[in-house]
Amino acid sequence: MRLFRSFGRRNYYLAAPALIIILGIFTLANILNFYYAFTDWSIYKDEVSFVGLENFYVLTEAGHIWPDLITTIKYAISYMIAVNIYSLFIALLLEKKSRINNFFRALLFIPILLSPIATGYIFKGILSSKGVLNNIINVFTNSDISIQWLGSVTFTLFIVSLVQAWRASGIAVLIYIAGLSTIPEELIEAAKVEGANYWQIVKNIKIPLIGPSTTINICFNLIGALNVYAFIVAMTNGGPGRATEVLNIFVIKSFSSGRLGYATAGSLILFLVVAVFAFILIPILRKREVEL
Amino acid sequence: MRNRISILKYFFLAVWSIIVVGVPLWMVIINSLKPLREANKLELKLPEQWSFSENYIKTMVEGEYFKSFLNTLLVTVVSVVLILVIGSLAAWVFARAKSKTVSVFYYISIAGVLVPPAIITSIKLLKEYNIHGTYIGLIVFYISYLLAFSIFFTTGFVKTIPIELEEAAKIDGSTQLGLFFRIVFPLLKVSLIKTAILLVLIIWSDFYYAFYILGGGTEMGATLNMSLYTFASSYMFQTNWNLIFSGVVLASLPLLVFYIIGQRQIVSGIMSGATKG
Repeated sequence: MRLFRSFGRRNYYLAAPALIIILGIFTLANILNFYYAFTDWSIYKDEVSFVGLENFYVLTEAGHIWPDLITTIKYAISYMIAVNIYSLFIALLLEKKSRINNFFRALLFIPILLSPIATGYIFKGILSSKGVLNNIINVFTNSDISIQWLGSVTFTLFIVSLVQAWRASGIAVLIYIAGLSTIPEELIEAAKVEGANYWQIVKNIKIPLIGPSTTINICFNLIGALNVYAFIVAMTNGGPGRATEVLNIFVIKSFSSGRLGYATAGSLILFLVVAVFAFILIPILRKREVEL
Repeated sequence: MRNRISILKYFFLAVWSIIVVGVPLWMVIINSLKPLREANKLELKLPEQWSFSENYIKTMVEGEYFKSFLNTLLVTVVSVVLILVIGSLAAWVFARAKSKTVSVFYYISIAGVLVPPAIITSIKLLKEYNIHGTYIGLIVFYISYLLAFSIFFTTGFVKTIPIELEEAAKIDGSTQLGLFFRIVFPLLKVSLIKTAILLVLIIWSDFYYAFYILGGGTEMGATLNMSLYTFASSYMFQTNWNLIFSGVVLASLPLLVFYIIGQRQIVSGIMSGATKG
């Protein structure tokens, strides 16, 4: 009892539940990735043996994993740019506190309440060749087009990334508004007195001073999009061809076909890509944040 | 001049909101009320023939709606509560400790904020622990991954609380655990609400991890999103948009209702301290 008391004077033991559960699954699973990616682990064999870089060679020759990696990065960057530009634009329109602005903030937040799977089905209905978008275009232009928005090898990846941006923009808008609201009113007034126009104020005062919001919105959105799965599954399932096959689709395809070594190799590459992006981006963005 | 700009601005916002929020929602709802042939034209018109009860009853029965809903609710509530409690205990330790070793553990704990979980080896571990394919396994997985967010947000927040409050209670001879729950935990309210909202959005919407941790089967009723996926996939071959959309409406309804009730708190909760941390 006394031992417990003296131990209890420091509160370290209170972190034990969190550490046990994080280390026992999240951390350990990521460490195991570094081992199994270099083995022939599969459901067709009882033993797991070390095969060096073979998974990565095979994956290169079969030509899947590197194109999938490029697809994932393209998707994530396109999504990140779209969601940030759009959300900042809307945030600038809605930054002042007022009833009507609150109404629009609340309204534009709604898409995030729909799950990625639900969002995917909604936009599949809108974007299919006989879908709502083509119907609307046809009504307004009195034509009879049937564009396959989800059937293009070049554009579909970007269209899906815009759908994800549509869903996530509500939160990004709120984070930008929170950033904008910390800018002191005097600064803006002073700039106006000096004769600065609206665009100059946005460019030279507002955008530099919302650094922390920008950091959050760029990093979390980029990382989240590298890990995309459900949007793709619901809308294109990797198609047409392999045009929207991102790393997580590759991981699950390999997993489902029992080739667990390949699956972990794909998973490891995803981990490394995210880690590289995070460690490059965060210090750069942090440095650029202007503190008052 | 200023007035004219602001009228123009709100006119734009109104039109824009109708296009980006109104039209998609209208399309889903209105086509979920039509019989098959009409719905598959994917138009925005009102139904010529209403098929409300047929579509929704079929979706609810085949998609095992109430079972899915209760399972999702259970998984979300249990996960979120445990993540908040376990996470803020750890955050308190990390925020107050000055030792180097402790800060190493802090960085290990918040890794999940940046890097994704390794799904394949996580499944292997959950199998070793004999909890793969169970709701407990899924909850444990969510906790293990999402604790990072709770610890990350809360640690920053604890640092803003003056330590004198705790020292006064220490003199009273309270235990560490008592001190935490009596003094610290109530002060974390703002941060906890914000974290809880984000966690609910993540867990409720999750499909990827739930699907593969609960077994990757096509079992109906496991969670709302899994049922929606399984249900919609079985109708995708013939593209029965009326049933797919009634599935979408039913799966989205609980969170929409939750939002309508708590809209003010949710919006301001996300904005509070969004720039910190």
